[in-house]
Amino acid sequence: MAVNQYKIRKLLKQVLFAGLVLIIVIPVLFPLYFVLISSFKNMAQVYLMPPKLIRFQPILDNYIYIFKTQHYGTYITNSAIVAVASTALSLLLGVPAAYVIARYKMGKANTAILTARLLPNISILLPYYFIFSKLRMIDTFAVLIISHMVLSMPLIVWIMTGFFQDIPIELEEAAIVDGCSRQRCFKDIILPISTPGLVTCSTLSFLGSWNNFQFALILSGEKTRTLPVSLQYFVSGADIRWGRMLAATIVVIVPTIVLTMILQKYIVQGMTVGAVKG
Amino acid sequence: MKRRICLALAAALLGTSLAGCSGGTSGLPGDTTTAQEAKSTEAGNSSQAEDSSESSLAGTTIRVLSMTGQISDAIEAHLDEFEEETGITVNLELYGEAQLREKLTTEFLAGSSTIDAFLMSPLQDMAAYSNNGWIEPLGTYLEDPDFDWEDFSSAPMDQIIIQSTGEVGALPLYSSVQLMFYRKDVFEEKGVAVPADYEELLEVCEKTNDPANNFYSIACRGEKIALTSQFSPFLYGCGGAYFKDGVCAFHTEENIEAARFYGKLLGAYAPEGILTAGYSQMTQLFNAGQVAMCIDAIALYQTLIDPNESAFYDKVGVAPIPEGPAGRQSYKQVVWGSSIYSGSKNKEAAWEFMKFVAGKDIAADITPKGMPTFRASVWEDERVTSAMPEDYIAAYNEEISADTTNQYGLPRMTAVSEARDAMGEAIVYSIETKGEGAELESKMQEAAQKVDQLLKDAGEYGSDYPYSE
Amino acid sequence: MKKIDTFINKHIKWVFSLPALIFMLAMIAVPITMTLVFSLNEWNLLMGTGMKFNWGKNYMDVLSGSEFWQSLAITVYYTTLATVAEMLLGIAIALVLNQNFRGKNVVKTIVLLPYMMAPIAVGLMWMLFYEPSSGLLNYIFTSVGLPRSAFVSAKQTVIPSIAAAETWQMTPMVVIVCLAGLSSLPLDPIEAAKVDGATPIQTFFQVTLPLMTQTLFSIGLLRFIDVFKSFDLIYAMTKGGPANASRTLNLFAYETAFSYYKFGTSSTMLMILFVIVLLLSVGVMKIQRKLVEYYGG
Repeated sequence: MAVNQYKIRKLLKQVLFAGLVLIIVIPVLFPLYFVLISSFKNMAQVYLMPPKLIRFQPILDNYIYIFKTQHYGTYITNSAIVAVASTALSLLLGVPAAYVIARYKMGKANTAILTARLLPNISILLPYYFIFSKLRMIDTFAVLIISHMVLSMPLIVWIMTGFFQDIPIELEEAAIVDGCSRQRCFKDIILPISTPGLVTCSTLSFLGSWNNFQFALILSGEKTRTLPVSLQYFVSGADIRWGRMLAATIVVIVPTIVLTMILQKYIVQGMTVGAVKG
Repeated sequence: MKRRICLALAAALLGTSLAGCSGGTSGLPGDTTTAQEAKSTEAGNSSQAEDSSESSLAGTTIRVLSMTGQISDAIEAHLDEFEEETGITVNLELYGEAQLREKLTTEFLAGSSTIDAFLMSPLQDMAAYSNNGWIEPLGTYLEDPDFDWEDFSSAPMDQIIIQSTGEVGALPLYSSVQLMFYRKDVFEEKGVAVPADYEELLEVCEKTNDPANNFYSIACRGEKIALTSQFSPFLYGCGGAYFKDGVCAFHTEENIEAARFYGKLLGAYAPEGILTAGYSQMTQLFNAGQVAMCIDAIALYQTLIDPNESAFYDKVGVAPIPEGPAGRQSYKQVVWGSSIYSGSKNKEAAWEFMKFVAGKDIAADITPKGMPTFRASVWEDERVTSAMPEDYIAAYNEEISADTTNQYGLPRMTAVSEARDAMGEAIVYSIETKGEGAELESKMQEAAQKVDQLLKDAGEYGSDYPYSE
Repeated sequence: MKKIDTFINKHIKWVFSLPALIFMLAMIAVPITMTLVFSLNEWNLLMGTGMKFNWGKNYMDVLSGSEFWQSLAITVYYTTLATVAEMLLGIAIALVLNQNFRGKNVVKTIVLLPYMMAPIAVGLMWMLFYEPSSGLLNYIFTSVGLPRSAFVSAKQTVIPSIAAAETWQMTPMVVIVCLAGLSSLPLDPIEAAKVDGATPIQTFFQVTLPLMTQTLFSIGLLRFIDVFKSFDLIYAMTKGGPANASRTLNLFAYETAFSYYKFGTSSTMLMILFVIVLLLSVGVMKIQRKLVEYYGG
């Protein structure tokens, strides 16, 4: 009897939990599903209420159009180069900085780095264009990577500082007493424990760069055009080409999912295997 | 620091001549050859026989910035022919309207832009771009015997000249007038005729409005800034005007009457979201079968009759806008123009491109799509006459031939966006109160004061008002 | 090699932080200085007269105009609404996803999806849903018996509507940061609390939450800053309308620069915006330090 009751309660709990997960997942998925199916419809069908969610005649015109007129392969490569490079460089510079900021309580340094995130984008853009055009760097990957690092680095430093502060200091102290250098200790002890934080930051930084529009609009050109800049191709003041725009949105999302997963896997693998949780 | 920036700016204003041989950032193969050509380029040169210009320009690459939209569709469609004929390679970059402006302004300001030619909205951008010396005057180019400038005689010159010198700064690509689009099936079902004046318009609205079934009579722009131009035919139709003697006349009796009418029309007979509705929402509302009528720019037509966009594509009727007490007052705007950047190193090639963009092929392509060309000859072209429905041609001709005091649709002044903002706010109030708001007069007074101040700030107040009214 | 090692060990504080600091300082000093210079000049492109130093008149003009304050109020309202919603939802979702269950990784990826979309696309997508007469949301509203809403078309509802879209897109950022925070928490205190018979809710408020202070503050402040100066989403949805009801400071500054061509005034607004965010952030960081001390770090 008691066992049965326990089983029922457990089942009930599971159902409740599944319900909770559904409540989280549906509001996310439904709009995206709507976008997905709308990208296979013409506008007359999109405006139709109630919407036909299943069993409609899909049309491929939008996809054919965007692949014919736009060089999506190139844009995806461009976006990937900029996003991966700016994330990697930001991690390289930012994570060690975050570590010492956390350990040595360098509040001022932290604020200084965060300042870049506080500046409104337009007030960064005009000066950057002035300077980088004088340096003949407009439409190069370097300028895009640098400008995206300005946004990524504060994010990484800021989030990682929080993480490092939460790691009990005793862990390192023991190692240092054993004669381990601080940098070894950082590499062998701190980084492996911080994998969740690192994965998070790099994902956020990667996506931030991937979706960055305004910097890419001003600083990129024909050769380095990234996806978000090409996305606004379908949106003009006068008319929005919904079908094409939505199809382009899908085309932008799919590689993001794949690349984010690859990136996460890579970072997790890059960490020392078998890290013990603190 | 300040000095350095000033220097940078000075360089920007002087054009990129300082950069000298810089091939710019594009690094394209054509650049080296064009730098040399640029030296010898005299506007008059292009007026020589066609084949000579062809050979000298072959291999040139130009960078052109344009806006996403119908005109660029036509440019893209014919671009191959142009490149083949002239040997010029065109790098066409397309942006949304706001992004285009952001990109152009930023690049021009920095002074190191590699743009050769660009499209712009003369009403919005001509003043800023020409006052900073970014626009190449077209005076001598227009003498090119290859180009029949007389064909454009119907274009309103005021909108495309550089104010300070009076020289033409942009080629007008297409005009905009306003038309009334209506659902033939609804009109038939309700047994109403196409309204010819304001009274009839209200009667038709009363008969077709059916909010209970989520169906409304009319859609016109209600979004603060976008609405000004769509409100203008009502303003002038009631006998009003934006200015009188160089002073804002927005608060005069006729104008208030117009604002009340517009407010009543949209407040009582338009769908709920009308206050955020700009141009693209007109399409959305009409194509979703929400409204019986819509008064907006002629360009709307193409989307309305597109079977892929609308379920009612075959039920669209076109008529001239209703006549007000003071006549039929649709504006006549130059919607997009194309210009050469004064700092371009490939001006000759850019001019070839300009001729192409304003040429007959593109004109004949865009005109049936709701972008009526200013080229008189093209209106007789078979490609145009065969492609357009009769009621459309009739309505357009009726309006283009109508004598109007409402040339621009917008208040002509330097700070036009701010003025639209101020005036739009009063109209929005009128819509919100269905044209019965007690504070309308004071709101319009307030707007007029704001506009007067803007005129004063720009040195355009009263007798200094530089435009013809 | 050994020497370098010893050197780094000794000066790790600067070896680790200087590259980042120098890079960032160089990259932000220039924009700040230039914006400051622009802001002190009369610089109106429409006049074509170039820049003229005007002794801070721009600041006087901006600060004395009612439009600026109206815009600031809108910004604060929008920021508060969106940040609070994102944080609460984010923490809640993170707690649910922190449980072990089958398909956890799939769900995590799904939750992250909105964050992968470009803000312009998100904005336009929501405009499609919000369309008052033919949009999906009003269809759903009327189907379940709720009154229709004008959403982004009415002054009263426009800010909450945009904030909802912002929340939909950006909550994932909070979720994944919180998840990472949760998964690197030491397990002992939580186990101990369980052993002591604390309910899950007690455990959360008394053990988990204090341990998460740093993480929550980091992400909270970051969200606050980003929302405060957000641009793409609002621009894509309403461009500041209806009747300026959603014109936040950043949008106002953009409009001033690229529609009114007043770069001096625009830079002034941007400087003020920057200073406000800076002061607020420093304030928040002070509170954070106090709280950390209170919880014993």
